[in-house]
Amino acid sequence: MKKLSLPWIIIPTTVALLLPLFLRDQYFLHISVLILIYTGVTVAWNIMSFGGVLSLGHAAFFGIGAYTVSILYVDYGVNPWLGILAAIIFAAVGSLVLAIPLLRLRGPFFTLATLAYVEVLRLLAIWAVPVTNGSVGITTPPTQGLAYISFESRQPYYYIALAFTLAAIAISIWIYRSKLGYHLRAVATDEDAVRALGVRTNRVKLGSLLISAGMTGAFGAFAALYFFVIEPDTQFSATLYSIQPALNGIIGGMGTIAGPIVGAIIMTPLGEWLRVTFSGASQGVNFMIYGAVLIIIVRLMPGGLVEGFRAIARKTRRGGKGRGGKRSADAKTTKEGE
Amino acid sequence: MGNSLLSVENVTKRFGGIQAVGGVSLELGHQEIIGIIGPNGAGKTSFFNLLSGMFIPDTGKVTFDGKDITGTDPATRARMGVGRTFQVVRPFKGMSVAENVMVPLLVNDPGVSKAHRKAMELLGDLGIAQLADTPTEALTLAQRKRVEVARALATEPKLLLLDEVLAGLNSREVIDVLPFVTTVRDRGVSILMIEHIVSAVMEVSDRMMVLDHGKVLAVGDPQTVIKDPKVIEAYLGSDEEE
Repeated sequence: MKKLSLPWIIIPTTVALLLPLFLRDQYFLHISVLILIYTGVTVAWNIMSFGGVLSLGHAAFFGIGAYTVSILYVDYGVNPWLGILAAIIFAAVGSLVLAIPLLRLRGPFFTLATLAYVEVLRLLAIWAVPVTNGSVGITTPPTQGLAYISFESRQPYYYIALAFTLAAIAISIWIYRSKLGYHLRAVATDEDAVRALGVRTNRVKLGSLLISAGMTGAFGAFAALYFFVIEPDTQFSATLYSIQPALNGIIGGMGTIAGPIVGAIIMTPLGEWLRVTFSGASQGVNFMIYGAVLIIIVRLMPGGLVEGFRAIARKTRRGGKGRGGKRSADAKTTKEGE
Repeated sequence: MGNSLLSVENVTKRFGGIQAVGGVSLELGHQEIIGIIGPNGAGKTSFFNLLSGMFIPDTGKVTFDGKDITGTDPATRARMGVGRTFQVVRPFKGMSVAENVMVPLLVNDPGVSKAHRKAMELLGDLGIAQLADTPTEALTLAQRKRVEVARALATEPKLLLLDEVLAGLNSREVIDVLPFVTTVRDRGVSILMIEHIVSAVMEVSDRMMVLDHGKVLAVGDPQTVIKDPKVIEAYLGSDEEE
């Protein structure tokens, strides 16, 4: 069992806590909040990929969370904090629809089912006008204060998002190292073999779905309060909240602890920066560059950024000792055997 | 049934037009080792799948430890004490040998650190403690096979189904792995083992069963079975076809 390396937890957490003291600029704070939301959703998404499952359905849970908190707040006057709790529960319950394909379909077929689910919910949100206000969407009340998670400055949002994200990371680490984590990681290799060892794999997979969806619902709810306005095409956007978290996770390193965090922290500002920088140029240039970056990373570091950085660190360390050649050749053969 | 651990009564399994298992019966006693041999496609692995719950038989009955388990799922059977290895060993990726063994140990929820301690104990008993922290990707085939057996043993089985644990090993490695089987029996486990290397199975088996075309060709004392003219014909005949 690997021990957690404390410096790797303490240093980034301290930096994150102190960041708003140096970043006074509201735009940068906004980007930071976005990074935190995306980190949280990616970490939540990654809990399913511990079990080798690729979901493109997380926009569904994100949207359910957003709509739950907003409808409860606007129509029923339920406090947003309670609304976030409800969002977690509703997102988890909503994920049960995907339990059927999760337990029956394998690999890409499940992934396609999840994508379809997002689309169904998006259309449902447009169509069910009395509940969701259709395409117009819902605007949350402007009443400010911690009790309503509504502020003038972005700093409090930042700290709330940070608390949520740290909680998500803590849950993810805990699961990875728990019984559920061991069973999930084993399922990722060979479900039949795991069953033959006495593990009820359906429960394991279902557990990861519920936890992952619930966590995503919390971030959807928080994001709804942060943006004030929610509407079907944004909150149930497969591009924004299904594909983006999956990309972050795959780029960083699917199924690892650090991978999704690193992926979200690097890819979110990159996407945002490209969007702003090339907004004047002909449309779509930002996506072209973004796509090129993705291809380069996947080509150079097929195991993800974290794995790639580790390999580079190993190489430079060995190179320093002057016997890099043979050793790194050894490392290469082991890697190919994976 | 008497006091046999496993009792199989006339099980059949058909896939479309192919009769994979066509009425096999077998009694296995406590701490008995039965070697199963037969040409490729004889239905050996299908028979194992019927015993481990991967397939449910079309007809027939499987009784284990006095209970009818004919229709139960693999996880339930494993919890009751039916352990198995797979022909193609696939250790869990990204996990060390000890962590692989912890997967079944955690089924009974002893807590992660206790499961780790138990895994280390088991690996020690089996003489492969030095592999504990090795990532499974770095293991040789012979080592993987041993880890596969260790993992199955961690379910604390009463019956262990070994599906070609010797296949793909060179003769030295076979000599290394074979005593493993008797070590396992000495822990109080009954064993059914599918093997292609006849001389190796004969060495450790109390009885042997020969399958061909999904049916039992012969069963009994290894020396007698191997001299059975029907067996010789089926075995040598199919070897020439290969």
